[in-house]
Amino acid sequence: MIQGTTPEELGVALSGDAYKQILMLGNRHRQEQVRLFYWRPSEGKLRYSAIIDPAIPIPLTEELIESGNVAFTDGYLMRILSGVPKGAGIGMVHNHFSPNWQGLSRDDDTTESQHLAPVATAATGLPLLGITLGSDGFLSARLWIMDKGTIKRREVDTVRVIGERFMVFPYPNKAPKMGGNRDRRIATTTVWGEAKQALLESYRVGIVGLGSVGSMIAESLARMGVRDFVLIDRDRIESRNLDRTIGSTHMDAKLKRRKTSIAARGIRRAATGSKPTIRQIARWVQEDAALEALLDCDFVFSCVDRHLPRYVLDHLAFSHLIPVINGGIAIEVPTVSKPSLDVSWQAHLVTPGRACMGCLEAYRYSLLGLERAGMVDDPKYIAGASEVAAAYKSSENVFCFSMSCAAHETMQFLAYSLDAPSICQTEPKMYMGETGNVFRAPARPCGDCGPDCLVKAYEAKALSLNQLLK
Amino acid sequence: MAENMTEPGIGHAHKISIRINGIEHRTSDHKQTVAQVLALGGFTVEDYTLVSKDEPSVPLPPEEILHLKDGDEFLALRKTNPVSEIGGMQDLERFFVEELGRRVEYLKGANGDNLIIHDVEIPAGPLAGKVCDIGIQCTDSRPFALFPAFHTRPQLVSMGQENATHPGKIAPEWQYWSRQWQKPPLSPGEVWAWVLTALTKAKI
Repeated sequence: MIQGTTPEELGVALSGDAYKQILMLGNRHRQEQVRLFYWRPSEGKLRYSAIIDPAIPIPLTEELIESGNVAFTDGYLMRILSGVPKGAGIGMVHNHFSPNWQGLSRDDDTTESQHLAPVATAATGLPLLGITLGSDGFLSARLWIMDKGTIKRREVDTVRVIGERFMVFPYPNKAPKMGGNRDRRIATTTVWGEAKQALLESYRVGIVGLGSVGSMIAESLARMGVRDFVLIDRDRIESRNLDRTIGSTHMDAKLKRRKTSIAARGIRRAATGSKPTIRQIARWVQEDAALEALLDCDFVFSCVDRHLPRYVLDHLAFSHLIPVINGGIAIEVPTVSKPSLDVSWQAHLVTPGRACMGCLEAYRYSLLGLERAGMVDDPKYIAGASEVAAAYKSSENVFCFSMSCAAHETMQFLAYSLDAPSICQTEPKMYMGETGNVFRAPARPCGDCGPDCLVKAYEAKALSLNQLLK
Repeated sequence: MAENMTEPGIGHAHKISIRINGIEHRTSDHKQTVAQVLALGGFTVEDYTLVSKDEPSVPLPPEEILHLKDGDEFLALRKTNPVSEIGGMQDLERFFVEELGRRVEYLKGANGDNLIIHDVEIPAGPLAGKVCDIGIQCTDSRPFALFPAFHTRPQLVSMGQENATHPGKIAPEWQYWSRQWQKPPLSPGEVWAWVLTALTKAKI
């Protein structure tokens, strides 16, 4: 609970749908607008984020007093208070007629700090979230946090919009800046300019799975200047991993070093920017420490080969609005009945407005329960379940297959995180070795998540990820 | 909680604790009107509506008598909650200092307090390049509405109808520029544009 505590970082995240609704406040000529809404907390180890519910209640005509400026009535507030979803807080957004980051006027401050914050806090136990829309679409946000009986204003560090496009609105003194050693990234920076390079260097990126694909992504990001990493993998390196895990050595395998340690070492060696910050979590992704660390990330790469972690990361993307870039390689070696070698891989971005991993069949729902129960690691069970065994048999891989998949995941990340669609269209990509074609991967049931999609149903609901696994 | 009791304010021996907007209040009067409960929290019936935390969609009428119990929780909701980009003189001051990097001060004149913006160079028009101080008369009006004039120091044009200027109301060295507001300003930027537009359109 945030009341009375001081998290290191404060964030706000909203979907593209929610942002479109907020942008509409600025559509009326010379008339300010105001809306009350709900939000839910997403609590990482370092960052406390408010996730805005995209169902923003529209005020009735009689609930607003418009005179160029605007006021809302107690009737609107009563309606909002009576519909607060469990675990949600209350927020207020209004627009200004000036661009960029917005301070609070006397009216804004009085209404938020004195009239609304005490009520919102008493009613929900959560702080009031105040947001101001600038005339250029910039969002400035603050939380009114109860501390020792007094409500104090704390500016939100960044507001992130996760939709068709990614946008980030920083508090003025948190604006992204390029790190040191710029001469080492001249070629990279020249491609997209210093502003986008600074943005890239401001992101905290999680990589789940530091095997063949994950280790390459880690090195790639470090060379491009990313300097804040969360590395999650419980495994240790073995001799059989050495043919495709970048940076690994015979000694690592002999000493059974953790994959996170090897990746961290690789990042430090490859880093071209300032000294990187690396958090190593040698845990399963579904363990508390890993889940908590994931909620601190701006982007997460899913480089896992199991179904349950992908399911968790799917909800992370939709429910907590943390974009996930997923990739996977499928290889079918020749057999007597099927003599051809089939190679394919997928890479796709997972955010609201795009297909979820489940609808792209990146995981099989039927196997989640077995993984949760540990059945797939039980040789006796696997021996008697040939269909399940088939789903887990594939350990074949080749270094260059992983390179190709890692490259496409990284390009999807760059295109989205830097809002640079000319790098790569952020649609689900599938490569078929047989034809040599990269095409849009098919999704179920109609190209994107359908109305019955269980992952989409929890969009921006900040679902407890632990609860998923109980 | 709400009952049709007829004798509010009857004292009881033991004190109970209730909360209004999360703040604890202790009282020995177990029967109080809604207006009395609001007053206990420092709120007035003119400006606030009381609701029960458990049933916030139902406003409690001020004259209704509540049978209070230990642990009751209420919310006092402000009846009108204004937001605006410009709600007072301090919003103008912040704009000039933080957004435009200007030096400002408050000056008491014959007309009351004025916000003075120093060393403003007129950007265009017949007076382009001239430097002056600009005075904006302070107001506490709600909603915010500026007086239909500003001042310059020194006097920039001859007094008269041509520029709708008059002797200064701050002090003799000032010049009063009468300029109507067709609509209330919605941002400090609009106020600044209003001043600069008037000065760039001056006739000499």
